[in-house]
Order: sequence, then structure tokens, then C-alpha cells
Amino acid sequence: MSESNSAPLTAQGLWHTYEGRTALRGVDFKVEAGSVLGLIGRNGAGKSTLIRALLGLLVPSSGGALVLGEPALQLTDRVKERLAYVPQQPEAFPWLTATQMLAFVGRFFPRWDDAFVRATLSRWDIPTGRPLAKLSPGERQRVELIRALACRPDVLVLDEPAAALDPVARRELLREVALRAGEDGCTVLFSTHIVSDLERVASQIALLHAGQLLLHCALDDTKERYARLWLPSRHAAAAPDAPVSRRVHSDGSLTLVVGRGARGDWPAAVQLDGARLDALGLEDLFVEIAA
Amino acid sequence: MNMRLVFGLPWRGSYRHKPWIMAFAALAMWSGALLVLHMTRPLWPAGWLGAGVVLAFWLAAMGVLLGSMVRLALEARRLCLPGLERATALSVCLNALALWVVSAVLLAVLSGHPAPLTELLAIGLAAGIAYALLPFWVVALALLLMPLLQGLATSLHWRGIAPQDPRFLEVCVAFVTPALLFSAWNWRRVLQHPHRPIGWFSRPIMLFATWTGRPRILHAAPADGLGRRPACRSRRGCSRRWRCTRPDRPICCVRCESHSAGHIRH
Amino acid sequence: MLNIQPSAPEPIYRQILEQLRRLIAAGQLAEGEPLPSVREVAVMHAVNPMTVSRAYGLAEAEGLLKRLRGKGMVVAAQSGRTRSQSERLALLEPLLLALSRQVQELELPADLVLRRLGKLLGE
Repeated sequence: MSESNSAPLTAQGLWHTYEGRTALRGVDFKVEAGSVLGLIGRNGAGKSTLIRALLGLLVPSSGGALVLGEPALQLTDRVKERLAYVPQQPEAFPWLTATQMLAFVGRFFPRWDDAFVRATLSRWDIPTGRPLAKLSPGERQRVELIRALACRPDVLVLDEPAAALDPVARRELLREVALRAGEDGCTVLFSTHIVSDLERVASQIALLHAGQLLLHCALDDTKERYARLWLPSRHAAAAPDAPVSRRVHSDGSLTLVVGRGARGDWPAAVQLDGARLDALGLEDLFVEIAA
Repeated sequence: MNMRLVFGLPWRGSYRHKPWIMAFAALAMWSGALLVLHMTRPLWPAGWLGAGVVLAFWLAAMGVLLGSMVRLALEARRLCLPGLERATALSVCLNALALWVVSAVLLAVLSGHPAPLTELLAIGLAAGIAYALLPFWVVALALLLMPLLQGLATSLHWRGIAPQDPRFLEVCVAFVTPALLFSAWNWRRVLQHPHRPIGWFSRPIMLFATWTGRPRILHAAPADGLGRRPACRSRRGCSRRWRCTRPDRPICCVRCESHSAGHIRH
Repeated sequence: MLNIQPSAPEPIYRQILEQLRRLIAAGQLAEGEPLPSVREVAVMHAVNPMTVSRAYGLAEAEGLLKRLRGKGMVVAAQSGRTRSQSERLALLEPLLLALSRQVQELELPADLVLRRLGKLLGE
């Protein structure tokens, strides 16, 4: 198959303008098979827009996307059967109960896992007698996640899956996502602004800021490759070129996020007298870049 | 594709009591039509027309129901579900066709006037589908223009074309074809941007206060900071007549409550 | 057994590896002792199994662990019963460097810090 050697999700030069606002500015990226890509960005950075464009749920102003080798805007059922998507607002089929909705949707998937549905509905304490409209947002989000996981997808796309979940449910979800990726080889793309979720399960991160992809690499690399460098004002001129981010303080000192060079070495400015290099957690990195 | 599933979609994809309500409505309307047919036969030679009108209303209601299945297609599209979107479109076409053919044949056999009744039923069904699917402004305009045209016709002493008239076929085609084509076009348009709310003026009536209502509800229901549930515009809206035609009107109210609990996201 | 802090600047696979090094160096994990499977660690901490298996793989390459058929990972025989004192001290080096930097930043006298450290160590 041609799709076996290409990435399950590909964006090619995506631009999108909506109501005079540019939400995506030329996003190019790939989600490799079997990886868990965490898409982080501030509210309004364009995460949902990017996900929708990737899945063909909106027509981008320019550029395109591929899902399992097919153009996103013309997905066939063969691809949709292997794809599960949970949108940010869990409000599908409000007039059905959880059991009805899952039984109804299940008919359209060849690999539907009924045993998983039953087990998870009771484990996650979902009321099955009431219409979905009468469940809490957290419960509805969990029902949506069960729907997405029960079809045994090859590609799982979750838009802010943890937003309405409490910490216990969130941990359960992460566990499930991690196992699906690690054991079934499922490719996962999830967006979040809760960085700690991402740090547990993601193998790759992509940082979207103001419609642009600022960073896209392996999570472990991110932590090892970038650090925060503080330079006193007297060395400001010696600051390395093209840092990932740069902030000037009122006293003239600089805070930079710098990356290692090709041979794994830090920029020379690290050795300057008074310079300070700090390891960066992902959250710090996110704040430094996106602030 | 599984034909049983396709034919059953209006029932399977709907809430629990709907099949019963629909069965009851069908039974009531057919009994009504038969009663009219039976009672008026000795009194009035065109009594069969009354039965036709009753059933045309029933088919219009069924048309609204079928047209509102666009919500099912929309959910399928928003969630990238395989098969469902196509199955829904197919289900609307096949169910409409089956309803029309079966009703027309039955009524023709019972009354002995096949052609005018078949046309009358087609008009009813198409009107129902168009009511559910056409943009709000088209429906509003049509409803506004109707009494105007009626008044104009009366004042100018126009004679309408009765169903018995052979020219009624032309009237039927002239109404049904554009209504269905326009509905099909709007069906596609609604699905084109599944996540973008359609402006209320061009939104099909069946999509009011369901998914597309979201942004409006978000703005309508800010937390008031006192722990009270905010007054919900949509809840009041439920009392409006057209909202009550929707089968799932509790949703708008419930959503407001859930949003008022602080889950307002961008 | 393992303590994983996802938000620490240190990648998770490194945290696991460092802890295995320390536990094995100190003899807390004896030779032949089985380790929890990759799946168990992944489920317990809700982390990606690939991260855990990367750490196990590195530990195996270092000679800390070995893969046994049917038993999964077990602690490998270490050269010498436990590591020499200097080797074990070397494992503390990054922590000591961080500590000394912070002591300097806080401008604390060294003997005060050492006294406190001595107390913590139960001397």
C-alpha cells in the first residue's frame, strides 16, 4: 500500500483565513506512524483550526492535508473507518443516551469493540439511561472518548480531550492513549494547553503560536536540546544569533531560549562571566516561547 | 450498504419515543383520511380531495422529519464517521420515495382518483422537506408572500387551478422540482463547513438551537457569579412555535446549564 | 518503585534510567530480580510505553539489565557485587553541582549547609 510509507497525517503549507483573521500561516508538518504528537499552543493559537484542516473539516485558504495517504477533503469511508476524531465540544447526538449513541455509531465501524464499550462505560461511571444532553460536560467528553477508542482506530485525533475531565479521568485517558499508541501502534494527535498531560504520553510535540509552527520535535529532545540562558546587560551584545526566543528586561539583561548546535554544544555565550544556563521543563519552554 | 439500516435511520438515529409517536401519527392521519373519504362520499363528489389534503399534511410532517435528518448527517461529518453521511442522504431519498409511492397507491386504490392525489401528496412531502431544509429567509418569505398572493388572487378574481384540472400536474412540477433541488443544494451547503456556525438568517429552521446555536448560547449564558443559573434565552425560545417542531428541544436548555457551570471555552 | 515526574526538565526515560542506576548500584535491586514489565510501568504512571522501553533498552545496553525469555527484564550481574564507592558518588554529581550553585546564589556559608546536610544524613 502506498500509505504504509507515508505519514498518517500530513499538512502541506496550510494557510487559513477566516473572517479577516489569519488562523494558520503556512503550517507544514507530519505525524509519523505510531507516534503520539502533542499539539500545544495558547488559546486561539489555531490548534482546532489546524486539526480541522488536517481532517478536511474546513477548506483551507491554501495548502492541503493528507490522512492515511488520502486528500483530507475527499476522505473515503475506508479511511474514515480507521480514523477517530473527538472535537473540542463534546455535543454530538444530544438526543440519544450513551448506550444508544454507541450502539448506533458502532454499526458503521467494522472493528467496533463492544466489550470495550461495556467495560469502559461502567468503569468510567457513565449514566446510560439519560440522553447525552443531560450529562455533564465531563461525562459527555468521556462518552466521546469511548466512541473514539472503541472503533480501534489507526489514527486518533483528540482536540483538547482533557479540557472537561477531572484529574482522575484525565489520568485514565492518558493511560489508554499511551497503551493504544505503544501496543496497537495507533498514531495519536492531541491538542492541549495542559502541558503536564502532554509530558506523560507524547513522543513528539509541536508548538503552534499565532498560526505558525514554532517547534516540532521529539519530546525528549526538546528537554535536552533547549535551555534558558540569562545574560547580564554587559554581555547583551554577545548574545547568540537567532535564539528560539528573546526577552529584554528593563535593566538591559536578556533571557533567551537557546538550542544546542549541530554537535550538541551550547552557544559560546554560555561561557561568559555571569551568564546562567537553566534546564527548561516543557511548561517553561512553552511560556518562554509563547508569551 | 445495509438497506435495513438505511431505511431505519430516521428511527434509529432518533430519540427513544419517536418511533411510537410517528406510528401513532401515521395511524391517526390515515384513520382521519379514511374517515373523510367514507363520510363525504355520499355528500360531496370531491370528498376524496379532503382525504388527500389530510394525507398531504401528514406527508408534510414526515417531510419535515426527513429534512431534519440533516442534523444526523452533520454529526456524521463533524465526527468523521464513515458511511453515516451518505446513508443519511440515501435514507431521506428512499424514505421519501417510499412514503410517497405507498401513500399514493393506497389512496388511489381507495378513492379511484390516482393522478391528482399523487400530485397533491408530492406537493405536501416536498413542502415539508423544503420547510426543514431551506434557509430561514426563504421560508419566512414564502410564509409572508402566501397571504399576499392569496389577497392578490382574490382581488383580481384569479381562479386557482383545482387538483382535478389536468394543468395541476404542471403546478405540481413547478413547485416540487425547485423545492427539492433547492433543499438538496442547501443540504450540501450546510455540510460544507461543519464547524462554522451558519448565520441565523440563512440557517435552515431545523438547525436552530441545536449545534449551530452554540456561539449564541455561549454569549447568552455568562455565569452571573451568584451561583444562580443564568436566564437562558434559548429556554425562553423554546416556547416559540417553530422551536417546538423540533424533536429535541430540551437540548438548548440543558446546554445552557452546562455552560453556566463554568465550562465556557473559546 | 520508580518515581516519575513528567514536568521535571529531565526527560522521563532519563529519570527511569538514573533511578535504575542508583537502585542497582546501591544493591537495592539484586541480581536476577525481575523488573515490572514495560506495560506495567506505563499503566502505573500513565506514560508512553515507548518511553519506558527506551529506558529499559538503554539500561540493557549499559549492562544494568538483561532480557530473559519468558521473564522479561531482570537485573543483570554487576561487575563486583555492588559498584565502588567512587562510582556511586559519581551518580550524585549532578545533584551536588545543582546544590552548590544554589548555595552560592543564596550566599549561605558552606559550613552551615554542611552541618545541615550532616544532620539529614543522620550523623
